[in-house]
Amino acid sequence: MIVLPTEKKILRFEDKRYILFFSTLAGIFSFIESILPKPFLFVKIGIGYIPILLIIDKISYIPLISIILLKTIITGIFAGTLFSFTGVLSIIGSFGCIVAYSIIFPFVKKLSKVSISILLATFTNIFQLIFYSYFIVKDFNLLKILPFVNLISIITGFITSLITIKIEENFIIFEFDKIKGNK
Amino acid sequence: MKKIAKSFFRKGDLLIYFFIFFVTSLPFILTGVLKITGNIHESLSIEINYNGTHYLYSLEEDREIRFKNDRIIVEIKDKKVRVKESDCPDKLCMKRGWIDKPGQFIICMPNKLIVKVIGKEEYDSITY
Repeated sequence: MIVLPTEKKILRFEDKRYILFFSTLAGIFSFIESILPKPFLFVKIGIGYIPILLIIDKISYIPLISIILLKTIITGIFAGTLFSFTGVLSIIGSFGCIVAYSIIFPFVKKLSKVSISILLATFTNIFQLIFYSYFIVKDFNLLKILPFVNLISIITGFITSLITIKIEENFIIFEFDKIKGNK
Repeated sequence: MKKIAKSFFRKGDLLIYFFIFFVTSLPFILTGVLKITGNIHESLSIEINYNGTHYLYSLEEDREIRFKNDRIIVEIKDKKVRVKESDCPDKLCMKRGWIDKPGQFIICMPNKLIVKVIGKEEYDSITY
């Protein structure tokens, strides 16, 4: 029988090894999702971004970008798709995510997790779609499906943020305050 | 309760949602602008190959193209094309009827006639 914790668990990080912790966690989540059956290829909720969303407003710019990039590389190594077409598409998606984060970084604390998650999902999918239509299909007519892709991004981004908010409210408290240069 | 509501919506979110709405509607806006300025050429044309000679016509204009002393008539009407008359024995080219999609063609073997619609072909499916 599974007993859920009644009190919130405090995760305290005293040095920058939390980058490795979260990138590995995100990588494992992403890998688990990649082996689960999907309704359509590339349509996934994006549970790999849950650890990133949990700490997006708590840590600084460079550590978060490192986590996003490491997550992509770790997932690629686990799934064996690092240098394949899927891996390249995943890296492009990560760049989209980094661009979105770079835009919202100055006022990330003034945004809710829902909007951040939706924006990251949207940028990830837009970057992948542009790359796919320009370099693979070489036909910009494919961009006509952008509204449909964005609709999926909004739904998946909302689901991811919902899980993140529930985890944050009920289970874990993160403490990064003692790390130098983190804020 | 207030804290829970805050994790779902803050004032700054409106900007993000507006941006996403703008990006989502961008293809519609761009298509509309390009259509108004006339930068989108979706017009199709007809390539006719008769006895080894190529002829090119637009599908936009209604007309009749005659070969072999009016014994073969190719008709373009309402952005569609057909072989209206032919002196071939089986009349298969006439039975083919109207064609209007890029990649479709009519072939009349006895008269060495090929009528083909040219334009940007649509994908049946994409695989990778």
